[in-house]
Amino acid sequence: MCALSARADARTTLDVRAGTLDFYSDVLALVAHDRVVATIGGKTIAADYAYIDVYHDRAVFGGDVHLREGASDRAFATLAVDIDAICGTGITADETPRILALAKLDPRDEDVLDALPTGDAFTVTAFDGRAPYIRARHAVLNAHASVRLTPAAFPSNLFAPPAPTFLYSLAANPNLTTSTLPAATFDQPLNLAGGKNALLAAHLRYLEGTGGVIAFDEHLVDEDRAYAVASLDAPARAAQTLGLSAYQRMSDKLTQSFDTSRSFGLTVAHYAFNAEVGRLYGRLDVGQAGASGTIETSLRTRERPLFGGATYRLRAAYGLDHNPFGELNRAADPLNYPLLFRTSIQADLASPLFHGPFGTSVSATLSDAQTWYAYPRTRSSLGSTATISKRFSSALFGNASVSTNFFADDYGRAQLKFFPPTPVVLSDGSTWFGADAFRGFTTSRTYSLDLYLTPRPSTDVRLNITRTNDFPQFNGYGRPITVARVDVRFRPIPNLGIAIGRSDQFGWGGVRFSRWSLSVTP
Amino acid sequence: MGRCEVLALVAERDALKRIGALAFALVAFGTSARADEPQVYRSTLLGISTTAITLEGGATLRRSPALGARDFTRALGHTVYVQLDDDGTVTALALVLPRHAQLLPLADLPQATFAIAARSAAQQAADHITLTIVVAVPPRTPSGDDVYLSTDRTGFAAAELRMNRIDPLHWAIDVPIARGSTLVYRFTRGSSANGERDAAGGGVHAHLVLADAPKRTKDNVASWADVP
Repeated sequence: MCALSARADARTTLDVRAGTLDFYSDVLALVAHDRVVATIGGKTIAADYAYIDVYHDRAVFGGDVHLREGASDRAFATLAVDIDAICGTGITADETPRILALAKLDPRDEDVLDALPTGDAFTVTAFDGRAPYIRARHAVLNAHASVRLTPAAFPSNLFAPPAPTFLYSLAANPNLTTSTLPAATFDQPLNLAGGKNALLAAHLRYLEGTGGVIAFDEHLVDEDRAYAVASLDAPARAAQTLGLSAYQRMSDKLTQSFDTSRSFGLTVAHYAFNAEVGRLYGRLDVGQAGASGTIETSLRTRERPLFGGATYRLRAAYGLDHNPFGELNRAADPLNYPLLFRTSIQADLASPLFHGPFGTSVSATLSDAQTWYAYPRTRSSLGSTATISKRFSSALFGNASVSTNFFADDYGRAQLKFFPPTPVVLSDGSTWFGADAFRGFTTSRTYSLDLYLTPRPSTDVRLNITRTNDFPQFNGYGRPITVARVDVRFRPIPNLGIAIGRSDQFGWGGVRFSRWSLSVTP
Repeated sequence: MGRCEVLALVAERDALKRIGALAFALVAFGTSARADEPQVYRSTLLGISTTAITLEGGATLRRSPALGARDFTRALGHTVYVQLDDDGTVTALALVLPRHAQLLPLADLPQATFAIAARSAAQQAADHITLTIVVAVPPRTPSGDDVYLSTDRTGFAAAELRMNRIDPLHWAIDVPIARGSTLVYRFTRGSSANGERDAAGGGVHAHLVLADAPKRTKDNVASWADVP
């Protein structure tokens, strides 16, 4: 339809009013029923039904269709409209139906066609009773930019109250929805204003421990090059949180980002600068949390081949930590050390993917890191992970992993000052004297088994059993020895995700089952 | 009660069950089709006049007076099942597939049957296809974490669809999607704070795939925001 006409540069606006106007965001379609009246380019189209493909900027009107401009009125059984080019193709309601081309969507300027033009002008999707994401009575489509729906009800989300208006951005830009809001049990965004490069939204949220709150965020984007997001969560409540996040890609090899938030009186900020330097990656991190700050510069190699498909990479860093109250435990060393420099190196090794017996596949990683502080102190870590996976069927997957980590916080001769024998009082009031043996050397071992059942892409169940064997670890102190957890996630409709989960830690510290976790997201 | 009336009542009951308030009066199937197994064609109703019925794709069929003067306005935009007589005119229209009916593709109708023949009307139907999206993750991805697909269909909700782990380094998911549409997506580990990054730690362009046919895409995550 209108295949030869060039797309208009200026954004076209299509205004639609109807008794019922349903928006299906997964296919970006508006479906209007009952006294449909649309205006576009000075023309008015009245119909019983309309299907508007918001993504491809085309519309199909059906039923008793009338195209009007001034005193002119042309009747059709069906009319397909190219919203960008403001032209159309109509099938008349005559005794012998004809196909008419309307170059300017002008009812007085029509050409009879022999056959339907090429393209998908009359293609529609039948939703047949499926609940829409938003139901409204008035929609304004700004081609390629946004759809504003007024008033907006959310029939597919029982938790979401109706809103006076909702702006749906058509900019397929993930940066436009980057969130700085803390995680919530429930979060229903209500977009208020914006377009392709900006979006102001209110959020109706439920925070565990706080209750129902409202939040606001403002997004500014420059395609994939940059974005900035500012947010205010739970204003005038104890849990009030301010957030700001910004990102910029300065060139193919340079990016920078800045994130800050303030909640419960504590301000946290972090700046990062990434650079590709020849075959190396350089990074500068500057962080501040309350009065404490860190600065670190680092260089790391790319993933380099080793042998047999294995790879390795190396990382070196130099930085300093600052704390006006002292970086070290004053009980161990009365001198105040507000500023400490440190140097660290790290080596990472990754195995190739092995295919084992019974259709299994295996991979492993090994990581070793060492940090030297200006104060006579070294911190070492050695970690390894082996993972084995098996696909039992198209809907059933299994995964098992073993992780071990060793940490050593070594103060040399001052070791006993920093880690004196200290019995631990457990959650049941008893004392664990075994903790006396802790000298800053920590071991953690994790054995994890997962089973995934995915009957449909939008529905999955995850069963997890995790065993740990750590030091220090005793009844209620440290990680639970055994935890079993089940998580169920499903999407009854494309715009509503529900996740439910619960775990059992088998009486660790006197606790058996966790509370149910519930998350409702768009 | 005649067989046709029974058919209509059954169909009406099913329609009421399936679409509730959208249920509307059905027309009894005509008598010209074989009584034991009527042949029907499925499409979406776009327009209806006193002489013709326009279906999805623009295909227009002649309307028989036997169809009566019922108001089909509420059927517009919905899947309908049409029955034709020997002359190729529509004699019956229903919202649900009648019992014992034989469903045939609209493309099987001879072109001469149409008042206006759509181009391959059956093929034009906006049916759904499946995209299989496979992603390779970096070896240092935390082994207990899941990988999620975040798409433009939910405004890039970070934990939109949990992917299936097909081996320690690969995840996959089948996404049903309307043919002809485009899927824009990213990978996360459940939140925007642990989304995918390029090898240097910078942001990445969103992935894009055109759903013109069932296909399998392969992507790579170079690093994660929290695991550089």
